[in-house]
Amino acid sequence: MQILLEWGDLRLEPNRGEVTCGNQSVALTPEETSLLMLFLQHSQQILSGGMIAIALSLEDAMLDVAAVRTHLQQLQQKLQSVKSDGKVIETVYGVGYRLKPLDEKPLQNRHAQIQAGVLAVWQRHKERIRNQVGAIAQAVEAAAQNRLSSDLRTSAIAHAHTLAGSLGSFGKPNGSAIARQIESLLQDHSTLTSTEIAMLKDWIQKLHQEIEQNTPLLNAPEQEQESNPSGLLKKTIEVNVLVVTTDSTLLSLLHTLLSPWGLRLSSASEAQSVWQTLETVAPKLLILDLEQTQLDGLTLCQSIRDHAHWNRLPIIALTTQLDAIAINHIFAAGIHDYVRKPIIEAELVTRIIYQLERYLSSHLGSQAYPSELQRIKNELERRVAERTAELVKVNQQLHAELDEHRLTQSALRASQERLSGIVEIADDAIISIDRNYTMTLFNSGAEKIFGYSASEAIGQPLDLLIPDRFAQVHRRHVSEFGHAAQATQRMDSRREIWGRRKNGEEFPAEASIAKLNAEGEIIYTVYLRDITERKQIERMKDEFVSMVSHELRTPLTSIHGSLGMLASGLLKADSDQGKRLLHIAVESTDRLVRLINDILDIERIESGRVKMEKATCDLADLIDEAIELMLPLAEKAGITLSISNVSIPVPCDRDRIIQTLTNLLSNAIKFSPRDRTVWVNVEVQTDHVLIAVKDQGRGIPADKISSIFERFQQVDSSDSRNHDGTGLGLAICQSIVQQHNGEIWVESDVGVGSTFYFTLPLPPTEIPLSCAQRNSVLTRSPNVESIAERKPLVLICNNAASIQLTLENLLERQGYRVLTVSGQQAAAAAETHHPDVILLVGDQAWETMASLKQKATTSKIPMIVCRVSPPHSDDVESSITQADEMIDEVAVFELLRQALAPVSNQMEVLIVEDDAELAEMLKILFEQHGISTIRASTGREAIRLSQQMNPDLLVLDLLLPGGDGFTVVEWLQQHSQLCHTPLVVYSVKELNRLERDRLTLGPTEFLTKGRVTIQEFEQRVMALVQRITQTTKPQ
Amino acid sequence: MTKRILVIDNEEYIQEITKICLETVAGWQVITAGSGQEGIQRAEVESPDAILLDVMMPDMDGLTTFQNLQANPKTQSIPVLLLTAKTQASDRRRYTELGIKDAIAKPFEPLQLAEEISIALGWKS
Repeated sequence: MQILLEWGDLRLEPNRGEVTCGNQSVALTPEETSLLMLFLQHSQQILSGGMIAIALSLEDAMLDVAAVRTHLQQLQQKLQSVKSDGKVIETVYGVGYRLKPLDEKPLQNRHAQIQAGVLAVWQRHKERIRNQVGAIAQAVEAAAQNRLSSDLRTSAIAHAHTLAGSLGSFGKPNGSAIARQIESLLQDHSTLTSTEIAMLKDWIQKLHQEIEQNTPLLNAPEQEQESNPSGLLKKTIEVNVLVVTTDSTLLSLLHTLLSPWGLRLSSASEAQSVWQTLETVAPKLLILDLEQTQLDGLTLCQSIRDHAHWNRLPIIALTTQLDAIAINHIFAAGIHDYVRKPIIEAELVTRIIYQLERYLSSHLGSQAYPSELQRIKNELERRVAERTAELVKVNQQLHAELDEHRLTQSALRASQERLSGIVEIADDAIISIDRNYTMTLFNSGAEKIFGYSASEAIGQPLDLLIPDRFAQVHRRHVSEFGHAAQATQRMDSRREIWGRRKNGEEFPAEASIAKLNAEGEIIYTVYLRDITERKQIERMKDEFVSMVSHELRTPLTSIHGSLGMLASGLLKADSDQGKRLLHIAVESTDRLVRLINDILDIERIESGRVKMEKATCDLADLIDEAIELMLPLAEKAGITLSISNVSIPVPCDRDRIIQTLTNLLSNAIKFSPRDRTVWVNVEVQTDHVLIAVKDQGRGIPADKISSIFERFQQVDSSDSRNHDGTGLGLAICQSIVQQHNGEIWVESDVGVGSTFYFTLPLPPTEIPLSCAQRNSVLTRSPNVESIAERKPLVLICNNAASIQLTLENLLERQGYRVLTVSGQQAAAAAETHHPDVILLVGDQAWETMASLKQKATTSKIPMIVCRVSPPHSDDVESSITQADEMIDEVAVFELLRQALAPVSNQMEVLIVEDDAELAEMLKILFEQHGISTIRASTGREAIRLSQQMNPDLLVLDLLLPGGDGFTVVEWLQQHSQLCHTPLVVYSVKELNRLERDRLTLGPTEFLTKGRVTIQEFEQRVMALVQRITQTTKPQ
Repeated sequence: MTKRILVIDNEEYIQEITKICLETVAGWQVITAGSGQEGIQRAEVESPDAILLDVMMPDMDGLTTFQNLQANPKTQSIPVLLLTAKTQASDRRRYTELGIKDAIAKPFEPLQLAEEISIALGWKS
């Protein structure tokens, strides 16, 4: 059998799940179909989201309420798109969903059926109703005769009451309304005026008419309303509500709550009376107390739902139930809504009005009592809104007050915390005293400065902190301030303030005092700062200025005196005394210059204005360089320098460490007697490297050791004039070493010698294994060997052994180093020793040269072929002779000089780069291509070196200290010799076209740091180098 | 009148210049000492008419030297003039409090040095 589920023109065929609306089919998802089926199967019920979810959930797929809502929305949309009359499922706010009740058309049949049924009952009841009206008429008649008994009146009221209900039920609302008016009038007025009696008689007449009118019993009410448009009637329309409860308190509460809204209550407490009252009163709403009844409320509900006439009656349950299952049961029983006990007035009334409105509008026609209900609803809403607004306002006010209070409290607390925090953390002393001069506050700053704890100080007089000799003055001072107009005052403006610590020590201080009038009592707060350190610094500064002043004036006095005497003409410049004065003036000028340089230097280092430019340097290189600089002085003083060097990378400022080394070395040399040795030793330790400079000088007396690194401290009064010192050298060394986080000290034995030590920290884990191998003591006589190393090496390839000695002597005398090999050994020796020039002598010289030229490693070494003897000669003696004759010394030296000249001029690159590490990397890169480099680290230096060396290529960083790259290029552009210098601009700066134009010299490459890899750099720069060499040195 | 002046200064050049100045300009005789200690000894032996004393000296400073000269009966009557860079008002006040006649500022005017000394010591009205 095919079961169809229908709702209006909506049809659902459950087996196939097909949904049609009129003739249109509606495509639904399985969930939507199930959902619709659920609603159609429970067409009378409100279904909560939870219920729907449970009903639709399959075993393995639990739906949640949100999913239900989504499916519902989609279902609604689909149905709405095919149904012209709007929503099928409506939301019952706060409760759930249900099918929207169908309107007029489907009801018409039922109306007819009901009308027929009602008519039959009416016929049966008509007589009884007539009698009831008659009883009322009797009472009115009695009243007219002024003999209305209370019994009669009560009975009339009861009859009117019953009439109102039954006439309403029988579709005679006007009759019902008249009966209610009669009831009301009789109830309100125990004695009746003649007018009222006339009115009553009129109403009774009308009642009779109503009763005798057979049709329409359940006709559209508006017609009746229109036929009876009495304002009074409209205004006094009342709605019956049946309350099922045994709770009389609840009943009277409901009465109080609902009567102002025109709701008339009837009550019943057991099933029979419920049905009776339903019949008699014809309520529009049933309020069912689920707990306080003598019947099973839910069963009653179901019975009502099954009742043909009452199945749509709105039922509102009153319950104390809270749990979801119970609530579900309530709705499952067909209850429209529920209100939890204890009752909240607004909630109950709102729900009742809502249910009534729905019921009346859908069952009695949309126009039934619209204005009255609207009025009630509006009134209710207005009241609720008013009360709500009132509550909201009060609530907001309370919250605002509370917030304000909280804010004030927290601001106050924060402010107090902040203040006490400031007072506590202040390094300065903050001390309060009362008018009795007793301390009441003593902060931690005060504890630190004075050495007393707060508990020791508080309660004591302030005198505790002041030297006795100032105590009286101070009290007077405070007292005067107490009477002064201003609230704060500096205490040290007129005289120095002294404090006294717990240990009795006095210290200079700076203090201010403030007064606060707190509730009539003056509190003084002293704010005091210990300025011992500042005074010390000031004193040191004064001393330094005084020292500098003396030191500068000394050479100046000599210069001024000498030149003054000479200028006066009293002494001739060429006289002995005149010459002496000139000498003094020149020497003193030198000293003054050195002094000024040193003073500026130390000032800049110590003030931190000169930053140590730390880069990783090989310590061995730095020591070599320092030795190189000191060689002339050592030679002059007859001192041998002995160096034990270690090649180790040390992060340091190269120039500053060289300066330190030269300062120490020059001191060692100056204070050593002739023919002694000065040693430089390097020791690598775990986290630092220790450098020692040891001399065999006169030593430093113990009492001078501690002050030797101070400025202008010299061991002997004659030191300054004997040794060209400024008295600042060691102070500068100390500053430099300290700026490197190293240490410097001296160990000395008078008469034996001194050793100055300094350390440089090493970065962690950077002690290369190779340094141990290289840490071999290398004692050398620097004035011979170190120079020798820089002599050009001439490789002589000689097949004429006879002239070897002659040649070697000849060349060595001219300052060349010589290595002689046979023609066969030439290639190997050239590869190993990298000679500056190869001199090919004797037989097969050309052949040897050809083979050397073929090898890439040796092809670029300049070669000179020397014709020695005729190839046919085999006489050794004669060949020597001939060689002697042949070799024109001058010509050979000139050839050598020319051959070597390109070596020194051979491709020299000036690297202008302030980053020492990057410069070092570029240097290595160029060296791999046999190109030597010179580095400039500032713009100024770049200009100076460009002038000196006339570089073949300039590698230029743009962001430089002391004149940027643009300045360098602009300067070079001004000089005819330099304006075509090939240029590689290598900078992080991204250049625009204009900037590139500004930066062009000769052939120019622009390479951006970080954009090009070092391999790319190499490739492009070498390509440029090749272009340059091809154009400048055509082969 | 020929005067004999003892110049005590650790700076050799200043000794020399002072000597040349005073000898050439005033025709005075100048003896020199390179330290306070040496100066006291020479003052004892030579009894000069006046002492020109440098203040900033490393071993024994000028003021100590002066106090030693004052304490020594053989030298206490010899007038002492300071030759110093420190000639501010506060310094001068301190010098006169100690009993020093005057202080001549470095660098001095070579042609006026003799005259300055004469005025300071009241040799010339």
